[in-house]
Amino acid sequence: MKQNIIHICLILFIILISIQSIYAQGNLSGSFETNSIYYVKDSKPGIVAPDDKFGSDNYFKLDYRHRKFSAGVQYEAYLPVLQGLPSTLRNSGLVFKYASFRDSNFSVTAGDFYEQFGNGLIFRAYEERAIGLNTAVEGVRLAYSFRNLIHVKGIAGRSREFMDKATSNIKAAGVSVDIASLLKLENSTADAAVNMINRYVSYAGQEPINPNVQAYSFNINWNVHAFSLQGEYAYKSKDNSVYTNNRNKDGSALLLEIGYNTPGFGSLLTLRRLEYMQFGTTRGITGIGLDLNYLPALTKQHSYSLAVLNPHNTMGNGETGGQLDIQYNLPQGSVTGGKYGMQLSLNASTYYNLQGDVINGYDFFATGKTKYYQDINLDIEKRFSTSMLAHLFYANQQFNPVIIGKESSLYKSHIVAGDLRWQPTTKNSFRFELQHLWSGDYLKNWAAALIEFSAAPSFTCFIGDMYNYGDSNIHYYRLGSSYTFSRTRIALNYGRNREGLICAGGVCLYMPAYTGLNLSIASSF
Amino acid sequence: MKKFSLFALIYLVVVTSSAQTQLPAVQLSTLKGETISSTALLNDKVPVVISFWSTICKPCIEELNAFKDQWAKWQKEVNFQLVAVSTDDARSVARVRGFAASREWPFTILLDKNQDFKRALNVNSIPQLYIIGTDGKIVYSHIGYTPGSETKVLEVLKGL
Repeated sequence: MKQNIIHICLILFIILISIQSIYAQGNLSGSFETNSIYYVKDSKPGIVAPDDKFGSDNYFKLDYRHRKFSAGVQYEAYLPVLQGLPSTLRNSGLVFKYASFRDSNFSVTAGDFYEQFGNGLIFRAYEERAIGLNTAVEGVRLAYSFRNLIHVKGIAGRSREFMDKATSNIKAAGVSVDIASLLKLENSTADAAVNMINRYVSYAGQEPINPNVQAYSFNINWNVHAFSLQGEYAYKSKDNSVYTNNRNKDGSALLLEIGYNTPGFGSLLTLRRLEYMQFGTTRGITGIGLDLNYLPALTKQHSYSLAVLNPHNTMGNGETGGQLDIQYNLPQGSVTGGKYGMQLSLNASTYYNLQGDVINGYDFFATGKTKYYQDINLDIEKRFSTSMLAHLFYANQQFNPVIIGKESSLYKSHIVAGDLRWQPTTKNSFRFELQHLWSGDYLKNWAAALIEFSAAPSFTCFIGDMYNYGDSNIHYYRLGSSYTFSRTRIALNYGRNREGLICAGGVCLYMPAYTGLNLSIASSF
Repeated sequence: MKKFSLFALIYLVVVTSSAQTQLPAVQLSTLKGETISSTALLNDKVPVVISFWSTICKPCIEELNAFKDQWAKWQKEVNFQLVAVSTDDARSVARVRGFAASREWPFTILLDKNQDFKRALNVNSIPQLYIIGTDGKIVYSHIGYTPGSETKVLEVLKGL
């Protein structure tokens, strides 16, 4: 039956497109992406190649637009899925299809769509291909805007669960009001929003389980001159699920972001408290592709490989902490800034468990005694001449492996890294990178080096190594090259990859170690 | 079913030959939280350079810094608008305003928090840059940034 419906939809869609192409000048666009790995045998411990030695994730997306109408599909093929990504991503199919009509103040979408309410504390449907995540909703979405002052939106449908749909139904609605325009406030912007979501999962057992779980959030955003304040409070009703250890406990979340920004200076203080805020697409386990909401780790995402060996992963059922981010530009011509100026970025974040327990309740303001994560880091960017640019980086990190299910302890490390970009001609440049991590815990010390060459605007190649010494003494070498032309990029890499958490967006996935040849092609038209 | 799907997709490409040439209409946010439509970027009737970036993408930041360095010189040579569209999501979007303020980027910054605009333009990876003509048509696009590739942008803008 389901197959027939897909057939009918597809045929109707093709007929529609054909008619449009004959009678109207529509617009077709799309993209293709493949990420394939040929795994090779490696004698080093912990590095395992899958039996068929091959993995390939492929995406083909098409969108058609004509005036206010648009429609599209996404075809995905896992031949098979890359090692480490959810194995439930298998075979192939037209997993995303939609038709949409958008007017100046009204829009309606039928089929699959992405959506986010507020900061995503109660709901976010999105795609993150690098970790095999796609929680698009299949159903109906309506949005209406009253004079661009009041925005209303509502959705109803089912979340995607890998190649299938979740066994739940969700309904959600939100209203946001532009308070500053409504009250004609000058020199400031202010808006407020209220959102709610209902998840229904039928239950026929004997336990006192409510098939409905509701979540609400209230969001404010206020900017005046250099000052900004953004806050969201969320509440989730009692939820008897595997991911709440069947506690039937209600949950809450508070997020505050306070900023002060002037030319040459940027600052942001973030505070967040989460209590039983994991919210699954069903009452089963949560994890990659199984969450209704979005609770990213609010820490700085580093680009140096040794600074992301042990990233934080949010403890959605109980965590409190914050982050301070300061960015300052020492101006050109000043004593400290020199001829080209100097950019300083200071960031510090720390997260703890909640104080209290599930029976007697948790203290709202106090932090518990278990530190989950800490990262204090400084990045300096300095240009020495028109052809020389350097970065110097230091981080002091503490990571508690309890967040990945191991015994509570703290892995402490100091990381120093630096890179130098040298551009001898207008089009050719080199980048040299050196990193070191000192630690007496877990895998002990690491060192890394990388050299990259670029010929603008199309060609890059690199060779690098990451070496663990003091524990496994394994070299994780990599070399590769990429070529881009217009909207197509082809990259070919070969190397040994360590096991560990791979994070994309704010979500992390534990990936096994592998050695292999990786071909990536991404193209859009 | 698989063969049918594949056939359908190939058929779609063949019957509709015009590739993406128009800027899609998507809602974006300003740094102060106001909502703006992507099509409003064309209101000034000058060519628009759109650069997709994020605070965690080093080549993106290098590209935007290169535009800042060339800004005064380019403004004298061509009339255009530059819009840097941040694809940072709820994890890092709050950092964008301070990030741009401290670097004193002279161009417009917009937020694409759930990557709707990025998806509508079929951007797979960032940085990706588009040049849109005054008629709303995409005249140039490029993936990635390597030092020096900004000169091509000026070259295209001068030819418009």
